[in-house]
Amino acid sequence: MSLMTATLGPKTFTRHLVQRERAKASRKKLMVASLSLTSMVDMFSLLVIFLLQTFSTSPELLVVSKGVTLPSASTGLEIKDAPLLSVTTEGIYLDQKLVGKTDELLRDPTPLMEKLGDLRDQWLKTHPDQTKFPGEVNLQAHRDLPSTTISRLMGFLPSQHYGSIQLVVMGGK
Amino acid sequence: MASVNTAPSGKGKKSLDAELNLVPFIDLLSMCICFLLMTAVWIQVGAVQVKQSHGTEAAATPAKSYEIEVKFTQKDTAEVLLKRSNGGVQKKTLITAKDEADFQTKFNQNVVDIVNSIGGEKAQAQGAIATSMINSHPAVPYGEMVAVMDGLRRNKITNIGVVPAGGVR
Repeated sequence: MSLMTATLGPKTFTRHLVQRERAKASRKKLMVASLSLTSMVDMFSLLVIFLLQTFSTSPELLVVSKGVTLPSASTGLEIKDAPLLSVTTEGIYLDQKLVGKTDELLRDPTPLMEKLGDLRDQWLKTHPDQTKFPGEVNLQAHRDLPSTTISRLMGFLPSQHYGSIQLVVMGGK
Repeated sequence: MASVNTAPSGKGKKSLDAELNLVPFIDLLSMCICFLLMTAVWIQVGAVQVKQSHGTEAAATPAKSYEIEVKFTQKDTAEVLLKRSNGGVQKKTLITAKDEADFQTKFNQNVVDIVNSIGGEKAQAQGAIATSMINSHPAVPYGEMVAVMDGLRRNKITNIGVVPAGGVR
C-alpha cells in the first residue's frame, strides 16, 4: 500500500486530523452548560431577607433539658439571667447538674436548698455594691408533670430568698 | 456570565452591554445564608413570672382591691373566687370542661367577666385585682396551671402566686 494513494495521502490525513480537532472542539463546546443564575440569586436574596427578619440578637440564656416539653403561653416575658432549675420525671437539676431524684427532694429538699443557698452567697460576694438579692430563679418543668410537684417545689424556694420564680414556657416575646 | 442589555433597538446604534459578575455576589449571599442559618433561634422561649411570698411577708396591696383565687378540684375543673380585700367572697364560679382546650376557653371568658364586673379594663389598669392565687391539684398537669396563669396575665393580672401543695392560706 502506498502513502500517496487516494485513501491514505498526506492531504487526506491532514484533513482527517483537522476534522478530528474540530470534532473535539465541538464536543467541548457542547459540554458547556448554561446556568440561569437569576432565579438562584432571587432565591438566595429571599432566604437572606427571611433569615435576617428572624434573626435574634439576644443570647440564649438557658438550655431546654432532654425529655422536657415546655408548656406554652402567649404572655411569656424575656428570660432573665438566673439559676436554672429543671424538673423532670427522673430528677431535679440545678444548672444542668443533677441534685437528686424528684420524689426524694420533695420529701427532703435540704440538698437543693443548700445548693441554692451557695449560689445566693456567691451572688452576694460577686455583687458587693448591691444590698438586696433579687431572688430570681428560672424553673423549667415537663408540661405533663403533676402541678402539685411544681407547687411544692415552689413552696420551698422562698426559704432561700428565691421569691421571684420565672416559669420557662414556649412562646412569648 | 450575566449581562444587562441596555441597547435601544434602533439601527446604527452601538449596543451597550454591561457585564455584571455574579460570582462574588453569590458567594456573599451563600456566606450570609450559612451564618444566619447557624445562628438562627427556632424555638421561642419565654417566662411567666410568679411571686412567692416569704414567711409572714405580705404583698403590699391597695386598700380597695380584689383577689382572684383559682382552686383546682380535679383535671379541667376549677373554682374561681373573686375575693374582696377584707376576705369576703364577691363572686364564685365553677368551671367544668371536657378537655384542656375547652377549660382554657371557659377560664379566659370567666376572667374577662370578672374584670368587667369590677369596672372593666379601666379599673384593672388601676390595679383593681391586685393579686391572684392558684391552688393546684395532683390530677392537674403543670401545663394546665401555666395556661391559667397565661389567662390571668392576658387580663393584666400579673401578681400571681401559687399555694404550695398541702399548704393552708
